Order: sequence, then structure tokens, then C-alpha cells
Amino acid sequence: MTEAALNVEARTMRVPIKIWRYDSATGERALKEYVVDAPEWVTLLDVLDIIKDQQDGSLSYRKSCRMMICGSCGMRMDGAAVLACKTRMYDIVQSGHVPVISAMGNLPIVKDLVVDMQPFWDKFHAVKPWLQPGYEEPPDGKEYIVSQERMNPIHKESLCINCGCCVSECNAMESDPEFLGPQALAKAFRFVGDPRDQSDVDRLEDLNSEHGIWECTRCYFCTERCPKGVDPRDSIAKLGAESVKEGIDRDLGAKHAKWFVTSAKTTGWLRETELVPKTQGIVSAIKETRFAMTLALKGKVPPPVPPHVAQDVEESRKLYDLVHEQGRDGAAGIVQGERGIARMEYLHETSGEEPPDADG
Amino acid sequence: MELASRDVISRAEQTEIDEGRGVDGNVLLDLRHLGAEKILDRLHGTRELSMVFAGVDPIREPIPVRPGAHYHMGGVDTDVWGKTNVEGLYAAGECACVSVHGANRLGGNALMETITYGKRAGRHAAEWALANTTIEIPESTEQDAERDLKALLDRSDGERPWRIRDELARTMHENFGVFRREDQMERQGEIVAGLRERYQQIVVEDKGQLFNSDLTQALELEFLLELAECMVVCGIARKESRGAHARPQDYPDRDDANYMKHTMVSWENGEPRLDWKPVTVTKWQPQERTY
Amino acid sequence: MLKGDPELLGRVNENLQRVGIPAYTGSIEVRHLLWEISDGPGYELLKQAAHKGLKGLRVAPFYGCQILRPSKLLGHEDPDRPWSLERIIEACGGEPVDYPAKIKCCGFPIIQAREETALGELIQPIEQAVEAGADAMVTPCPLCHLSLDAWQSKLKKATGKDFQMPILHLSQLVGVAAGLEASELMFKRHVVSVDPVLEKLEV
Ligand code: SF4
Ligand code: SF4
Ligand code: FES
Repeated sequence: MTEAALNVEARTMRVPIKIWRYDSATGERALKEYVVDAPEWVTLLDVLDIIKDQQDGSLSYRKSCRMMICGSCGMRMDGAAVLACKTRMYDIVQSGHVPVISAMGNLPIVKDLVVDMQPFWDKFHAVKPWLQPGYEEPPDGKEYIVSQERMNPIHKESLCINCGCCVSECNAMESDPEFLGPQALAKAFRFVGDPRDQSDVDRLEDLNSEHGIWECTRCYFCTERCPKGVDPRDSIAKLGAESVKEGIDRDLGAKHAKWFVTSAKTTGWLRETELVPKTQGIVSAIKETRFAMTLALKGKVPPPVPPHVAQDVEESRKLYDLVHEQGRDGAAGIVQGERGIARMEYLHETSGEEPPDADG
Repeated sequence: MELASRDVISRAEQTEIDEGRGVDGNVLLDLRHLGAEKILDRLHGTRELSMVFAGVDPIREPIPVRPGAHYHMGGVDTDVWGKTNVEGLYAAGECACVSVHGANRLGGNALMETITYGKRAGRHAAEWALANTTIEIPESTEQDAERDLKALLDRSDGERPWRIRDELARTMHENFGVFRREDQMERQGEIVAGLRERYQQIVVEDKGQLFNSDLTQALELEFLLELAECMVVCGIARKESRGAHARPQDYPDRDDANYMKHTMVSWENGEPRLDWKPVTVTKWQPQERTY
Repeated sequence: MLKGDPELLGRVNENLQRVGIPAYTGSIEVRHLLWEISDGPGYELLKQAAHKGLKGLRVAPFYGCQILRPSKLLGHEDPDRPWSLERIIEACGGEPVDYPAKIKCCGFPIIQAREETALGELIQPIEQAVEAGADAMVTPCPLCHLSLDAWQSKLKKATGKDFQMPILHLSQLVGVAAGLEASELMFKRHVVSVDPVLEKLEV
């Protein structure tokens, strides 16, 4: 039911809007303009409903809950992925801007604003989005209880509604459609960080594959777009850290990340000349020599030897040792000062290997 | 009061609104005494909804609220394994009625539908599917469905479904809402009949084969109309007040002697047929609610 | 990040103190050069300094990811419709060129680990800037500068397209407009020659 039915007295406004129509059967594509009179409180989804009801029944889009929980209504407004049911129109109308609505990116369009979610679900399934507790069900009449505290580190990942807004604008996925992408990886962390799940190492092994965590280009579009505050880039950073902590560091991305820390430890600076060999290994570094030489000739890289050591390097060495003593080597898998670091320690303190306690 | 069950709260809210103590057709729900920390921690989703849809941050202001249709206590009749009376068809979630809620679902208990009965129904359905091949559907049934669909798609003139849907929503809310009265329910019966009549002439604009939500929404409207008619018949027949079925004017009390039984309704020859099923009482004796 | 999380700040400071480094108090506000000179008093100073001007040079702004996103933590401008670089280009007497990929990723973070994917990202802004008729691109990020400039040769190898798009760092753009010498601006360290730009400006 449109809310209009219940709010007869609500003040109305005139809403102009443009929609990219598309039919994958015929390949026809057209930008159509619509103008509707709608109550001032409407969302983008309400406007689409009014258009479909009263002006053009063939307009297609997905919807279900109308309250930001089912994840059906992801689409783009002026090129940015949004939930239609979360997007209030009043301010946009007031500003005089006529928004352009189109289907989400990085997924094939079926019709108008409807995309084929199959590639999305395939990646979602690829990370095994279910609990693998690795322990027996408790005896009859008993249950395992996990404290809220131990679940907190994956709280925001649990809020994901599978809407695809993050995937829509993932820059790495635009370049390589096979990249697992932010939603699947955030979901993966939801299980890696779950104190009940006992297959972390297997999961991390899988996530360190060609199209896994190290293909993320850190564009932060996922974090920017997510309507539920999941912050997938943060989850990916944590997966990187967990991988390095578990000794899964064969990927060039992991080596690259680790080198930042090693470099800071030994010199207090980033040893840029060695970044390529330390990341790529000797063989490919030799292949890169010509390219590196061009850079060197242009003075793009500092002279190779000896590494320049910062005055206060002792401090950074001590800090490194301290973090090592505290068993938080995972921090070596985080490249920048990302938020991934923020809850790591908490996670380590709380994730035990033994199954949670059985309780009556 | 705010921790009472939903039917009680709905009635309290509606009474305030009806008696002129509401604010713009709402009452105000004040959460401020809980404090920011608790609201952020425990009521994160509520706060999000309130901020987006009402523009109100419950940490600072009270939220405007009013009763609305939130959940169907009834549904497709199933056993405790999600099995329906159609061989091979299982139901779980809000569409199903395992009969754990009675006449009023308590907050949080929809999780029992999804998690407990969803799991049970899923397991059973999977086992059934592994052990059986396809079900024979009578050819005539299939042909009827195809013919109806074709007739609907072939019609090029008529009424768009949305007015019927909006009128159904508005009148059901008015006449079949928080409080129910015999004459109102009867009037609603006539309204629904009229809407069903109009439905016969609706037009679907999208004639395509691809993601045709204009068609699916039109079909859903037909089901909504049929469900509304079932509700009317059952509502009138239950001459008592129980849970969310409140008849303060004509039958204000619960009547266990005559109505402690399930309302069963099936669709036969284009109309609802009413039946009753006894309630099995095991460990917990039903008791009068006294708050 | 630390300021908004007292618990984490406490743990970080405890560790810092254990190795003899003074605690972090969060009293220093970190501001980017871009923000300083695109608005307020900094902008007025910029206009004075850029007296030589860019003579209508068509410049494509390229922002870089982590100066825009997550906007909740940065909060300087609308990450989808940023304006600061455009304002600076205008103040310097250039003409900002608009193109969709100006807010996207240059690919640098994975340029070593996943070169193909990175190049697939890198090509978008450069190609679009060329199509939009830009004489040069400007970026406030040193790593964007590195990948846009140095990796153009790899793009050529991978795609056959030789863009020869000169890439200026924000400080260099201002430097040119302020009349600094090419040698002071270290243009000889660029992989793609900046000469066409300098010729246009008759520097
Ligand atoms: S930060 Fe990584 S996962 Fe997120 S959108 Fe960018 S490339 Fe994709
Ligand atoms: S992470 Fe956020 S944007 Fe991505 S699917 Fe989940 S809810 Fe949607
Ligand atoms: S309709 Fe469910 S999230 Fe928008």
C-alpha cells in the first residue's frame, strides 16, 4: 500500500525525476523523465511506486520491505548506489536538482533498475556464509551460549542486508569482475571473527586466493556506499591482518603489507627501493628491472644503499617488539592506518579455540 | 505499559488518538530515559528507522508512532515440520501458521518462525524432495491458470490496480483495524466484494516476459482481496475478544467456552469456507491475561 | 579514529609509553594542503600567489580515494561531487575539465600485487581526461601522481594506447601558477614529459 492512502492531509510537492529505462531482451535504452505529485515525506521508492501505479506500469525495480532491511531496492541515484527506500526526496526536490536514477553497477542489467544478482550470490556462496562450528550439538536440553561481548567484533558485519550497494561501485571489481568483492569479504569476516566458527584457517586460505582479499584496491567506495554501516573495507583489512597472523602471507599483497611494517621497524621509514623486490620476489623483480631503471633514472626512487635510518628508529623497533610480544602480529597485514586495526585486539582477546560453554 | 504485549499497546495508542490526545494522528514514544548508550547499543535499528522516516533522533526527541498492520498471526496451516495439506508443499515464516502465537505474537517471536521452524521446514522439505520426484498437477488446473493469465494480459482497457489496492488498505485499516465492530466488519465485507468485482476489469500495462512486476503485483492484489474476504468472514464469526481481535463494543470478553479453537478457512468455489479446529492443550493451561 | 575511541586510544598510549614515546593526545588537527588552500584565508593567499596564472590551461582534477572517502572520517567535501581541486585550478587561472572517473581509484595500492586489475583502473581517468580535452591532470596525492605518471608506460604496453598525459602534483600546479622555475618543480623526475604544458604556458 502506498502511504499516501493513509496520509490524505500530508502536504505535497512536485517531484521531477529521470530514469534510465533498459530492456535486455531488445537492448533498448532510454532516459525518460517523469513528474509526480507526492507527499513531502516520500522516499525514492515511494516515487517509483507512484510512477509505476499511475504513469507507467512497465517500470521495473525490486522492492519488498520498504524499511531498509530486505536489501531489495539497491539502485543508483546520480551514479551513486543507494537504497531507494532509505532515500528521502524532500531536500533533493527543494534544491531544484533533477536526480537521474539507474541500475546498480558491476552487475548485468535485466530490465530498467533490476540487475541480475546471480554473480553477487555466487560470490556470497563462495565464502561459505554459514557457521562451521566444528563441535557437536550440545546434549539434549542444553545450549551453547555466546556472550554479546564475544559477538561484538562482528556486529557491524552482521548488519549486512545483501543489497549490493557496495559491489555496485567497487573499483577493483570494475576492473576485474571476478574479484570476490566487498559484500562477500565482509560476510567472510563475519564468520572468521565468529568465536563459534572453527574453520578460520581454511577460510583464510581460500580468501588469500587470486581474487580474494589482496585484490581490493582500497578505494573505500564500499564503505562510503553501504547503507547499513558495514564498512567492508575495514573487514577486508582485518582479514588481511588475520591471514598474516596465521602465517598465510604468500600473496604479493600480504608481502607488500608486511614490508611496510618491517621497513618501519628497521629504518623508521618506508624503504621504497626494496618495496618491489620484497613484494614480488627476486625473479619478477628482475623482470621489473627495466621499469625500475626508468624510475631510477628519473630519480623516482631513493638511492638503494645504504638504507637511510631515521633518528628515532629505536622507538619503532621497540614498538614492533612489544606488539610481537603481545601476539598481535596481525597488525603487520594492515597497510595503512586503517580502522581495521581498531577492533583487532578486542577480537584476539575474545576469540577462543574451544567451543562456547554449554548451558542449560 | 510499553512492555505490555502488542495488542494491548495498540489499543492504548488507538484510544489516545481516537479520543483526541494524539499529536498529528500519532502518539509519542519517549525513549530518552534509556540514555544514548543504551539506545545506540540495543535499539540501533529502531533509531535508524526513526531518523530516516520520521527525521527524529530518539536520543533527543520522542518518536511519533501509531498502530499499523505488522504481522499476520495466521497463515498457511502447517504441522510442526512445516508441512501443509498439499503434498510436497512446505511453508515457513510469516506466511505459515504453525500455531505457536495464538491470537497475538509476542515481540521477538518471529525469530522462532524463521530460525526454529524455518530450519525444521527446510530440512523436511529437502528430505521430501530427495525422496520424491515431481508432483502431478491436474491438467485442468494448469490450463485454468494459463487461461486466467492470458485473459489478464490480453485485456488492454480497464482500471489500474493501484486504486483498488489503496482502497483495500485504507478501508481494512478503518473497519478492520485495532477495534472491530459487527456492523463495520459487515460493511467491510461489502466493500471487499465491490473491490473484487472491480478487480475483474483491471489492466496490466506491462505485457513483457521479463521481470514483469506489474503482472506479479496484479496477481498479488487478487490474493490480498481473497485474504481480506477470509478475514472478514472469520472476524465476524469470532464473537469474543481475544488477542489482537478486539471487540470492546459488542463482545469485550474472552470466551473460552465457545471460542478456544482455531479458525480454519479454505477457499472453495470462489469464496471462503469456515471451519474450526480444537486447541490441543498440553503442559501450559491457558490463563486470563490480567494486566 | 583514535579520538572517537577512548578505549583504543588508552591501549595505544599504554604501548607508546612502554617504549618511551610520549602519549598521543589528539590535540593536533590534521589538515590536508588541498583543504587549506581551497577555502578560507588559504584560498585568498593562493589567489595572490598564483599571479602568473595558468593561462586557461585545461586541467583535469584527480582527487584520489583516501582524500574523499570515507567521508564520515574526512568530511571536507561531498565525496561524489567534490569541488576543492576545481576551485584551486580556477584560482590559478586554469580551466577545470570534468569527467566521471575523477573520484575513482588510480590502482596504486595493488599495482604490484595485481597489476592487471590496477591498470584496468588506471586507464579510466587518463582516458577520460584525454577525451575531455585536458592538457594535464593534477592530483593532491603523491601515490596517485606516481601511478598516473610512471605507469602510463605500462598502460601503453598492455593496451597499445600511448596517452602522454602530463601529471602534475597539486604543489607543482600551484608552483607553475606562482611562477616557480621548472627546475625547482623537479619536472625532470617525471616519466611523462611535462614540456607540452610548459610550452603552452611559455615558461
Ligand atoms: S575498498 Fe576494496 S572492496 Fe571496497 S569497493 Fe574498493 S576495491 Fe572494492
Ligand atoms: S555490505 Fe553494506 S552495501 Fe554491501 S551488501 Fe551488505 S549492506 Fe549492502
Ligand atoms: S525495500 Fe527493502 S531495503 Fe529497500
